[in-house]
Amino acid sequence: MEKIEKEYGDRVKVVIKFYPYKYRDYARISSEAALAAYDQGRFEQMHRIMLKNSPRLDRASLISYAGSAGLDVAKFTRSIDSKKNDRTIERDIKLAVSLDLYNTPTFFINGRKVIGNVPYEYLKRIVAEEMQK
Amino acid sequence: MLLRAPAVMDKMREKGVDMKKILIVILVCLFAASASADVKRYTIPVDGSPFMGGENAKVTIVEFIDYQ
Repeated sequence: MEKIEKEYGDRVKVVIKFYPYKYRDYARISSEAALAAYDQGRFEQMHRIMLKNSPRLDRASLISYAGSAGLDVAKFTRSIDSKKNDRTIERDIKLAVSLDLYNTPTFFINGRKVIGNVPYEYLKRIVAEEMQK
Repeated sequence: MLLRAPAVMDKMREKGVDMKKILIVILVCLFAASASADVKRYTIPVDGSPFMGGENAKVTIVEFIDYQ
């Protein structure tokens, strides 16, 4: 997906929904971290750092990434510790469950469902088809 | 049903039913059905979710993600 984002830039809009797996330690706090960064207008920066450093996503690491992403670290820390964005995460999980999603990532390209880490060429084909509509 | 198929076909031939024509009709119907079958699209609400790229882009990709 990152390749698609680089290639298409502003011609695509990539919306992120959070579907943290219940039994992975840092999945939930990572989602909180992403939304905390969104609150401070630095979502993309934090998103890329977390993807790059996954699975090193424990609280201390996230706080250091927040610094790298140019965030107000104190504000960020308060946000993740207080689970400020819990409601958004719950909303996304409910949506995922209602759509019967069982795997991440799952993509919806103009509503067309694509499940799993499919090859770049496959994603590109669908994006290109949708561009032509 | 399958066991009776040869017998059914014999009976049809007896009554002058052209098997070839029937086969062609069936194939055309199947082809038409698959050609008009549209790709399934889900409507995903996106308000309030972070996004990257162009806000009014022609193509929207919603990604359900688990960072870990």
